[in-house]
Amino acid sequence: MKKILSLLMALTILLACFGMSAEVPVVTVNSWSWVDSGWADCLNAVFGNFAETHQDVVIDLDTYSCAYADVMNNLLVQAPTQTTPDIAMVKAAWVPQLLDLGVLADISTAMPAEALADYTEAALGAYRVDGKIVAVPYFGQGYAMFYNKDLFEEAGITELPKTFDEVLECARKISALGQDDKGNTIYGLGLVNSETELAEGYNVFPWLWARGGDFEKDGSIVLDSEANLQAYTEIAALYADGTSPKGLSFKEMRNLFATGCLGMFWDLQSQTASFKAGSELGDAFIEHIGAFPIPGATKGTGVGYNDDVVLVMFNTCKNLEAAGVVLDYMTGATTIGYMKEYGKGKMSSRMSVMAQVYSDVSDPIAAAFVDANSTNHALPCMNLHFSEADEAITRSVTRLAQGEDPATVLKDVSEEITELYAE
Amino acid sequence: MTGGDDMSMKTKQAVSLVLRYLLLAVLAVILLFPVYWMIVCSLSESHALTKLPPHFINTDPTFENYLKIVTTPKYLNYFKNSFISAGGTVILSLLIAVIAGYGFSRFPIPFKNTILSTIMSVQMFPQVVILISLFAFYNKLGWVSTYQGLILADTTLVMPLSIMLIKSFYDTVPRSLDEAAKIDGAGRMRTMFSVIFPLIQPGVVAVCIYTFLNAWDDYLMASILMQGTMKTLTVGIAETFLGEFCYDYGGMMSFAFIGSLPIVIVFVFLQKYMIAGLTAGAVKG
Amino acid sequence: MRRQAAAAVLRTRGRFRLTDRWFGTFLVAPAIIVFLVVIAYPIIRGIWVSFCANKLKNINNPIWNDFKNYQVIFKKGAFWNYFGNTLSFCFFTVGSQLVLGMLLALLLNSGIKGRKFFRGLFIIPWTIPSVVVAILWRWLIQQQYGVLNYILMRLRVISGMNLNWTNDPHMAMLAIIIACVWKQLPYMMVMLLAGLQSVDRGLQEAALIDGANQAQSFWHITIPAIRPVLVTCVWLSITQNFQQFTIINNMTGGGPNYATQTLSVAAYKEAFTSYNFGTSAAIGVLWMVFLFVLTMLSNHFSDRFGRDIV
Repeated sequence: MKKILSLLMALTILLACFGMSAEVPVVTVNSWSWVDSGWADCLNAVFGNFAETHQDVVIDLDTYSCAYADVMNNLLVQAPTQTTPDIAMVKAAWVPQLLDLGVLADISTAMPAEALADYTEAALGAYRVDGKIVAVPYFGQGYAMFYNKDLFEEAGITELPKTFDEVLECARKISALGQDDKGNTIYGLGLVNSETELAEGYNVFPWLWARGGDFEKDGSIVLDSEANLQAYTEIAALYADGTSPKGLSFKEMRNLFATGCLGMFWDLQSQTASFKAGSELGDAFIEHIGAFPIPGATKGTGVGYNDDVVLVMFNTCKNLEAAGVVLDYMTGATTIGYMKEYGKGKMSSRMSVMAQVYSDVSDPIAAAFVDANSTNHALPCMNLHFSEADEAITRSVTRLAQGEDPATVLKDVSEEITELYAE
Repeated sequence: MTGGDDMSMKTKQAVSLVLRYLLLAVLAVILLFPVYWMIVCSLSESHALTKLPPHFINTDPTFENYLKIVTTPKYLNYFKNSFISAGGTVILSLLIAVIAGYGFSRFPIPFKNTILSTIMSVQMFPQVVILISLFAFYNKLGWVSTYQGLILADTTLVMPLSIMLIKSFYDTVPRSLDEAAKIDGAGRMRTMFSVIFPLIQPGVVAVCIYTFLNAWDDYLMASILMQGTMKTLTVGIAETFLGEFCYDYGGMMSFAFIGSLPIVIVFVFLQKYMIAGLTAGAVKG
Repeated sequence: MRRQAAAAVLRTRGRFRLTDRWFGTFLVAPAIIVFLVVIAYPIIRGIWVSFCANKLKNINNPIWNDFKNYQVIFKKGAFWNYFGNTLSFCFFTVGSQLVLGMLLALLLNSGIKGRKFFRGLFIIPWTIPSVVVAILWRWLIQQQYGVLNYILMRLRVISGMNLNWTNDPHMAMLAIIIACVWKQLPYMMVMLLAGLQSVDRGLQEAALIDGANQAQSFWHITIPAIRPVLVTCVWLSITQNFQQFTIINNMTGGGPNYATQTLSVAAYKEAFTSYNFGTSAAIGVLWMVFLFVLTMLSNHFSDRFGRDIV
């Protein structure tokens, strides 16, 4: 009797599945939840809400929680086999490669015109190639400086640093504290530099900008400059005197910060979830940290940066109208609202969305990031070779950490990237 | 005087024996410490692992890390994929090796030695080059992220040694048995299956274990040929480390331990065969 | 009567010999087919691809470009760097395994009880999957919380938790060597032990009676007696370590600034990170050429030694 019942149940479920999948257009979406479980909750809310409010389109969601470089590799492997999803969430830096492979579809054929008009021309223009829109900004991720209030107090720092020089001063005061009572080393300012994680080299750009240098100007590489040399020399000193741990990736750096042994480092607002998960104090750890925009050379300037995440549509997508609905929803106020609610603090490039969602900000950390957003630079990533250049920069910083002469390192990396971009 | 010499000889031998046991014990502790540490960490809360000093003995062990792994369908899926692809590789390479081994062992095959040495030299070929071509083929055939694709790819890794291993086991079975069977009127197929094959059971088991071990261990082929939900355990573990477990070393270690478990279990029960298999070819050859 | 019988036997003999060959060939045919399809053809295609421009775009249509790929990998001595790393990695890994494995095998062979127990215990690292070995050791050498640094600190070898294994080129190489030796040592030990156990004790005792000491007996009697096992083990270990990818890639990713980038890691990165199959195949071809030359040389030398011993 039990056997028959369970067989019937199984059959019913099977039939239900078949019944369900037959009628409604299904849009496959690739979404990656990066590092922390905090993202999982947010995404569940976003896509759960979509399922409730949209009976006419079904989203088939595939979430990756792995190194995002793996996400890109997955897409690159899927591209030649035409097994790409309909919509994917990708970093702006990956768009050139996907474009080169010829697998991106024109989003203006799917997304409603009103939604596209909601973008500022500056935001959307970067992704207009040959009259086609190959990507739409999903959200911008701004980087600002996190700091540990307890360590600041211990080191006797009463005011937040307003210039980059003051940042370095504070960093040295903190690392002068030496070790904590359990024997863990205390670091002042963490500069990420790991070769096992790909594409984290651009996190030194704030330092370059703070000293007046830059990576690229008007299409040519301007790494070999006095200003950048000053930055590189200071970075070498930072590693040499132990103010920063060497060779840590962003993930390991977050872990270190969560244990309360790191004074400052710059990161995304959404990583507060990582800190909470990694700290033994749990959620209460938030009370012990704060954020401020990464200051530039002079007061009032900022050298933070935005790492844009965009949505692309692949040419394997069949249901353009359904895809358009999904695109509109994902870039719309509801989704960004959820992200703000879950502490992800993602900024949008859609004017109406920003007006709706960010009309008032109470949380101090979120306020700091909104503040940073107004001075943040964009990453110069829309070049086919940017990811390789990025790795070259990571390797050059490794060389600085190993004590090599900054002038030689800077010259070498500048040559390498100039050659790369010339291809 | 002889008595005295005997006594000092005996104590010398005793001391030497004790020293040897001590040395072995010390070496065992050093060699197995990482495994012990993996288990200790997997039973600790992750926060305890990012603090100094590390605790060498669990004062209050927790199983929440293991629970996390076994209750996540995604991870169980990785196990399934690994089992299916490793199992498939074992079956395929066993089928090929058992008959090929008999052929090489008993029959005058044209160019036998050349063929054998070519097959052995396969191990020198860079696997990446094989993978590049396989990847291109599979793209055309649509075999990326399929079990058959990975099974075929893994077979290239294990085939040479499987054939040589089985062949050396066949070589230990005297030809007189073949002759006797022939005289009794058995056909060659019957001879092979009913008479000779049962005698090389240890060799078959050894090849099964060896193949399973290597297919389970494969990371290179699986990382490219299996994507998304078809990922195998090795790729899953590597990615998870770079992914959500960056701050969760406890979870990482428990995943690592569970990932090792199948092989360690296989080994513990079939140790005898594995060692016999490992040493068969080398010692006699 | 006898003539008929003789003729019948002749006939049957002839028939048997012909179908013997065919039967044998049928038996090995599946193996050869698999070998040709899945190994030989990809390798030959790979050699061809090494002379072509082959990226993800034109994955099925490589375009011939002469030696351009080879030029690219020799740029700035990149290939020699990978080659050198591979050689030093192999040398130290195989060397350490051999010495330590021999030590363990000798210990276990010295007539102690519980040999099987210890052997079973020691073999555990070999059964742990390479990926697990990589992340386990990565956790062990973690700078801030790794237990290895802690032990070194307590032993006063380092002053604080300040030894960064993955950021220093030599420490990174040391780390991957340790991890690989840890995993492969049991295999070497088991093989050498089996070899040692097959050595005729009578020979060793005769040497001792003749006045040789332990070391001499070991060097001149035992080693030559287990030469076949030694050669097989070392050769297998060298070829396997040339291929070693999983542990290196997951521990250091090619290491600080290419310091641990061996040929296999370089080939993989070229193929599946930069998606440049042509240059990756070029690295593979040079690798095969090297090992081919090495095999020829070692065959030549082993012939010579063979003559000496006999």
